[in-house]
Amino acid sequence: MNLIQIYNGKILTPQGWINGGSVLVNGDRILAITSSNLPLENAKLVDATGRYVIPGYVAMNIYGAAGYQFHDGTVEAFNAIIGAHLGHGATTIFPTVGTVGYDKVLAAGKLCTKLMDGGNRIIGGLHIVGPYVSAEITKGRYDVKDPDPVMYERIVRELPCIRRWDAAPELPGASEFARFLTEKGILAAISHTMAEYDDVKAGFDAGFTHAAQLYNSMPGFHKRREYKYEGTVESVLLIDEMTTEVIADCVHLPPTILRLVYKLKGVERTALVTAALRYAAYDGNELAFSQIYIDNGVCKFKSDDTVAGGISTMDQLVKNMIIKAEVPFEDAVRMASETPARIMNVIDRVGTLEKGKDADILLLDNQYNITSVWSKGVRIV
Amino acid sequence: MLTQIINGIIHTPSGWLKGGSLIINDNKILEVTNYDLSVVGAKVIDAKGMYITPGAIETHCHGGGGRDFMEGSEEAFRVAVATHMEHGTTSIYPTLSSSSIPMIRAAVATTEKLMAEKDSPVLGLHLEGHYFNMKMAGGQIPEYIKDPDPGEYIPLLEETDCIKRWDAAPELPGATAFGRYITRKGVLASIGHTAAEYHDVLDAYEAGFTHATHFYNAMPGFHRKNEHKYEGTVESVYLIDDMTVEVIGDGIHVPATILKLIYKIKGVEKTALITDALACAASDNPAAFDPRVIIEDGVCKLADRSALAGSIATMDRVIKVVTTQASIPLFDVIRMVSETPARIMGIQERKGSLQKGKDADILFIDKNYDLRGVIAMGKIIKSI
Repeated sequence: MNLIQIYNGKILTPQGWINGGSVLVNGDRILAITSSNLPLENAKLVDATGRYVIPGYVAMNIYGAAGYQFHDGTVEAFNAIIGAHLGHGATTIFPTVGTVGYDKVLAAGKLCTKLMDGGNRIIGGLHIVGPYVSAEITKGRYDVKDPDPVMYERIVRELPCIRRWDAAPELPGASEFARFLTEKGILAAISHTMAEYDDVKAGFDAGFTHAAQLYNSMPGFHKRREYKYEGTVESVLLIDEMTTEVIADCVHLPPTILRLVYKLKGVERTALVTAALRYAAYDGNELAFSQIYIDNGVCKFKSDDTVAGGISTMDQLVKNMIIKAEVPFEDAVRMASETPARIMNVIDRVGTLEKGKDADILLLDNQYNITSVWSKGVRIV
Repeated sequence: MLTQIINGIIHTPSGWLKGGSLIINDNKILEVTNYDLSVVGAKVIDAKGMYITPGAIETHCHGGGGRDFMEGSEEAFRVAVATHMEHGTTSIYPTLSSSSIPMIRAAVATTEKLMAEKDSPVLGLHLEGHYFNMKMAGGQIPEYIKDPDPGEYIPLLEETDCIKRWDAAPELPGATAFGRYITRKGVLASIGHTAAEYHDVLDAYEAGFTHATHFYNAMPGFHRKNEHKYEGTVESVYLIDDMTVEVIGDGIHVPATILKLIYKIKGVEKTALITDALACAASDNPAAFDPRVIIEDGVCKLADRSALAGSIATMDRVIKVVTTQASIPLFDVIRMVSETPARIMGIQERKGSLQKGKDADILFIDKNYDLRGVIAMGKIIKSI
């Protein structure tokens, strides 16, 4: 037995906070959450010094970091990105690849499958965005297409690691696509869409149960000529069972909107995501080959200076939710751990501190900064 | 003199009542009973299985029957009020859009005169403007729009207490002082024709602006400035739980999905339905009162079709549209035209529900949600 006892912390459990208890880790799993601080025999003791002990974060919708993106498709890129986000508390990561062409998606997906088959449990599975998205929303920046069963069935066959795929529900064939994904156990999410209520509802009924990056890359209430229409945003808010996610970097959305989503959708239906691109957790020079640059805390496209994605990490999102959006600490943590774990269907092994789950554990100081990270029982930070 | 309404489904604060009766004595509700046996000496009205509901309380209406309250004359007021009463409105706060002070004074004089009459449906004046954000003026007349001016509003509110509601854009200089002042005078302060974001809305709320005028219309939602995103007035109002809203229930100014969303988020008790009707509502005259405006597809638009300019709805249409298009239960729709506006305007002690001792303002609505009869202060306005 290789026992670690983390004691003298405030432990966040599904039943609430435990003060004066311990988290016992055996190997890569949590052996127990106890209500006692008393040192156990043969346990390696870790004094949490009164800090918060919380579950590791689950990062969904995450493209890159440290100068790399997952679509680079190399072991080096995967290791660098995962390593960078792990240091910021993401102990489960669903690598995201965007509309970068089938070859790159296949290459990244094959590597992802290989790493998972090789026992990498930090990687939760692949997340693909597009190419079945709205040309209007993506402004002709990508080679977008309507869902093509020949192609997507082939990709799903070749890449058993896929766990989530985003598409615009208003496209012809989108409902069949969602039904196909759902049947294969893959989360179907709506994103980069112009859908109004009828399309969102039809999409939901076909299996699109999640809305990517709510408020971003989708219309809200709007006017066409003199008439008014609900947008995707209001449609998602109208469908109670639909889960969502917000880019909580406080640049993609103001804190008021983060609080509103928290209030309307609630902790159990709202995940925090970074949508981080290669410039997250990166302090090198601007990369000449990249189509994006950093400005004012976000990535923008060189072509038209519009926002392309984030540079934040999970720890910053949680801090933003607490400090700027004024959401209770435990709710902010749950939106970064338990909720994404449930949405991505890995709640049986990660997302909360519970007996038998992976030993993915964070220590946070009273300013909500991460001071320690355990990933599968191994202390990283 | 007693009147007993039988054979209807009665809207009571505790739900629909079947097999009961509503007994009216003069202009008051004497009883809502759970039996329909004939009461000695009562004249019986057979509701023929229809819904019996409280009358609609209109808190935002510019005119009807071809006349606009801005005209200020007694005749204009009487025509417009009578027109809306035929369509289910049993209490009304005539609304002036942005006007000059002399125009407001003329309307004040008329309002005071009508309010003094026995059983008057006119309960006070509503000023929609003229302290608005010029960029959000919509159909308001721009020449009258200005920042809040205590040199105007203080004397006016010293002279009369018939003004019961006043709308302004809270981001204007002097708006919070205005909100505090009028609130002290017992006037409902409402935000409208505004570009306020959260901090302005919160400041306004704390200064007394507890209501939002035609929610979603003439105010921004979530929006972009350069590359950054901001909440609009809409989201700000959603964030303040205790703030009430009104929404134009014509099915056009906001789509049915948004009606549903407001109902879901703000709820029945915080949401009033309004017509925001212009003079051309329920009018035989096909021309609009205002030459800048046209009527098309059941709504008033600016002539260049760049924006909506007000509705031609009446309360009966609002009830039917919200019930059928937004799929909100009739019971709740009725509450949003009666109980909620009564509470917002502070008259819930005497109006807004069918209860013993309250005013006898009653509607008869059939199974297709069409209005079939109106009683206001015990008098039959529209026979069933």
